[in-house]
Amino acid sequence: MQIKMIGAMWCPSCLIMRSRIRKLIKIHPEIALVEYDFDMDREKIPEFSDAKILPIIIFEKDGRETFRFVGEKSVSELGKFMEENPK
Amino acid sequence: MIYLDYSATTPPCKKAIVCFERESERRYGNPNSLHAFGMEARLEIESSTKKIKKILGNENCEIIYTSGATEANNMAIMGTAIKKQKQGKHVITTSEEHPSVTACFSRLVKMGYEVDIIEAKKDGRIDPEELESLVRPDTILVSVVNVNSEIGSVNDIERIGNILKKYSQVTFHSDMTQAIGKIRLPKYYPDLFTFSGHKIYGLKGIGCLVRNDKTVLEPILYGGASVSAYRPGTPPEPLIVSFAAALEDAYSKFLLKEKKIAKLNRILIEGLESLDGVLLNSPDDAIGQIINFSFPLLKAPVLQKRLSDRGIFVSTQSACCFEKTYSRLINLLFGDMDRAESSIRVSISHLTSDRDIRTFLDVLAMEIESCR
Repeated sequence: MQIKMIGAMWCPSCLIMRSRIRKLIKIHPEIALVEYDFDMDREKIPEFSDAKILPIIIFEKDGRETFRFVGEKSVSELGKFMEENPK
Repeated sequence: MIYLDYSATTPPCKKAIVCFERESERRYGNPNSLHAFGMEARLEIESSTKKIKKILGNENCEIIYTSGATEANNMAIMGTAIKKQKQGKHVITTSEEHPSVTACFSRLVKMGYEVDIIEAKKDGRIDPEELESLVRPDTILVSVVNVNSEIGSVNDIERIGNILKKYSQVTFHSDMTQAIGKIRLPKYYPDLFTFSGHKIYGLKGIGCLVRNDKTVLEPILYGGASVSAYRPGTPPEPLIVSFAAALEDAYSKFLLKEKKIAKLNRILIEGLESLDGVLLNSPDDAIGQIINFSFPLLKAPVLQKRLSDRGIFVSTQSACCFEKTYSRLINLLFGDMDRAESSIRVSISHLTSDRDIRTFLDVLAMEIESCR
């Protein structure tokens, strides 16, 4: 599984989620995290959609998007999602 | 023009402009030069530094001049984290910081540091006891903003500092950019604190990091010897002298200014409360200069533009939202997205007049009426 996170360095929700996702990855080291910077990586940001709030977090399995959300989710919500979408 | 955005920037006072012009013309020698003309500029910097320390009432510190608070916050946070990385890699901050603080902590996460983030409570302040519960043996840095720029809530820096004294490995930093020049000077200062010239009726391009003499840092910029070991480069003597003059001016007749702001704040709050549908977001004990409100029937950028078209300048906040339509803090405090999307910050000054406030309230009432 891979998580793509589109965030900005200046954004508090992104800081919160960046920290939470790293905690999740400590428990699930098989997950790869790919981060895109909203200000620096504009050309690389995949399928931006019409979201207006950061961060945008995209879960992918076998190269295909399985789920995405914008804004903040708690560590337990993230964990629950992992349980519902095993690798 | 009715300028109600004094927390974004302030007009430079006459003394700051006069000092800058005079020093630029008279003392253009490089303060790092060893000849008499350079030394004259360096002595002027030393004199300004003494003046700043005296005004702050803080003698046992170093004033490190920077280009502004953003650079000073970077220097404090990154400099501490790098210097103390062998002692630990756990750091703590809040979710209501200026982007220059948040961005440094984002960088630290990417560098492998573990970051805990404290949320503001209903009164817009963080709970010092919650902060203490997060401190660990490997915690090396805590950064807490003094005055929140969006709603004007005030964190109890002295109480937090007293708690953190028990943990000698922790460096305590506070971004005091919205506090210095606006509130009475404290008796207690954290290990590191930062503020900026253009928020205290000085010029843009100058600010400082104040470092307690015992606090260690790693420089984040490298170069030749200068007035501080932590900040290389040619010191901008005219800006530094002007900065000291602005700080002195900000605290001259301060009680009178404070009284005037309190009166204007009352008029503004009463006026906003009398408008049907307007919700006040600033807590009762916020600083008098910052008043945040929402009118949920009008999105903040729409109301801001309508006021701007009439020559009235206010601010919106937009953390985490790249189209400037949503305030994370207002949503956190009130759990109301409509309120968060319509949040407006009015920031006043001793230069604001009764008439400015009444005209603003009249125009706001018309705009509100027009969308019913």
